[in-house]
Amino acid sequence: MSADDDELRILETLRREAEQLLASPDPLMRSQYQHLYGRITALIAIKACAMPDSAAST
Amino acid sequence: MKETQAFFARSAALAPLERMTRGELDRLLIAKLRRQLERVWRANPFYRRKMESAKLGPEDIRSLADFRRIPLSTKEDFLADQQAAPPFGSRLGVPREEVVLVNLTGGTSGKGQEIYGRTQHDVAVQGFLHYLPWYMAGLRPGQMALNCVPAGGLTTGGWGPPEGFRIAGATAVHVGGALSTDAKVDLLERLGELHFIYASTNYMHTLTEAFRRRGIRPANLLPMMQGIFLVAEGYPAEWARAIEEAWQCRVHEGYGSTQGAGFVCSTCEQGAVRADGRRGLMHIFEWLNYTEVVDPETGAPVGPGEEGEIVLTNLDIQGSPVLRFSTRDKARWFPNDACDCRRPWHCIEAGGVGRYDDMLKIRGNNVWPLAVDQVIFAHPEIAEYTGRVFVDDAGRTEVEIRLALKAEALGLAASAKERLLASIRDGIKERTNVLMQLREVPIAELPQFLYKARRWTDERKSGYAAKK
Repeated sequence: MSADDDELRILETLRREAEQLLASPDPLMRSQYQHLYGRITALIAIKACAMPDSAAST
Repeated sequence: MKETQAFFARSAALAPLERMTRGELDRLLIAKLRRQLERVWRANPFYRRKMESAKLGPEDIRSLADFRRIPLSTKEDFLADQQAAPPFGSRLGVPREEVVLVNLTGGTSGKGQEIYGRTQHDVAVQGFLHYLPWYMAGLRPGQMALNCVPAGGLTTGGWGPPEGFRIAGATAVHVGGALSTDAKVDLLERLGELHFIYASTNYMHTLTEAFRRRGIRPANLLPMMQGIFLVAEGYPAEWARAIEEAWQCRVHEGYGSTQGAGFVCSTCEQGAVRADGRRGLMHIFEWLNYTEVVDPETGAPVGPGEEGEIVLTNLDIQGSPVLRFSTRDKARWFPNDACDCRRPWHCIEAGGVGRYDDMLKIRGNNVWPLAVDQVIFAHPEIAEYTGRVFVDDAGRTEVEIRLALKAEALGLAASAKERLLASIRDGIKERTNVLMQLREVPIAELPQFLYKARRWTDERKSGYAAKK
């Protein structure tokens, strides 16, 4: 597995973890978790863009 | 002059996109188009209706030729949709509460402003779509970057750059709209350090002139400069070369828009003017915005070196995405192999993107302000100009060009000034087939443009109205 694949795998793990934060009952923190989640999904889109299989699923 | 920092294969994320074959890139585009079509089919009634009108579903799109069967969408479509379902229209495509930024188009067409709702994901992608071309132009973390374009406001051009500089890790100084030109020069003297400038073509001209008036050669004050990145307007190759000479670094250019959610393409390390003097090529980030250049009459893709209309499709935008959007922007298209850099990304020519709708019809001739810009600013004695189309007392359409000379050209002998004006007049006639009246005026009589130059006024409608 390449370093590139490793980075994408870590980003996917972060996305799944961050998704749980979106359900936070704390309104002060929830919007910031949404900000974090958006950053992570954008990084996945940027990182996975050279991979047709990922492009089809992300 | 310093060369742009080579980035080929430096980024593991970019390297596959730089090295893949054109066939591999086309397959990637089809996969991403299919994914985006499935998204809009599910969540975007505007585009679902558009596809249904052509009797197409996502499963029917198996090739780029299939994709071109989807009808174009236009500004008028968006304005009607917004009126029917205010404020975002039925093309928003995401839950309203996920919108964190509203972008509006400039409204300079006079028809109305399109509205775009962007999500957290989209704002991050918009930032990347600014960072990527600047990375290609040599911007690196910690470098001092001067943003001469007014930040914030309503447009993507105002919000994208600060986001791009932030994720670049650059030391950003947002001076656009905040300081006068002289105050900017004062600040740069105080900072004593600058690596990168982001500015409209016109403003880069103004800034360089301000240095010249003070007797400062920019490259002497700021010898660490790495790159200049131009946006918004075309320019003559001779002018870009003169800017490179004054600043001793490569001039780059990007083309972008709110519909593209940032930059759609930009020059590679070869810059805006290639070593042999030909115009540079802007490489399209096709995997982020699928970009067609089509004949506006037939809709067919144009061939190498031909001009056509830019048609955009977002591939990674969620809120208010565009699908086959007719931009009315005019560009000269080249296939990927037209550039020596060997990337598989198709290109449009630098320095020449114009509009289909700012064309002036003068005495039966189609006149592009850009064509006049290119003739006038190829003469280094000229500081600025304005053009006015009007109807004279005899009811004839006339064009008046008011020109201001640079300070160092003011002392030219009368005969030299006559020769200069004749050269410009003949050059304009040759390019446009229109003989225009030229008049020299002091620079103070002309407006100063801080962003996009609005040099032309067309008084013919009011001129005719006044005669009633």
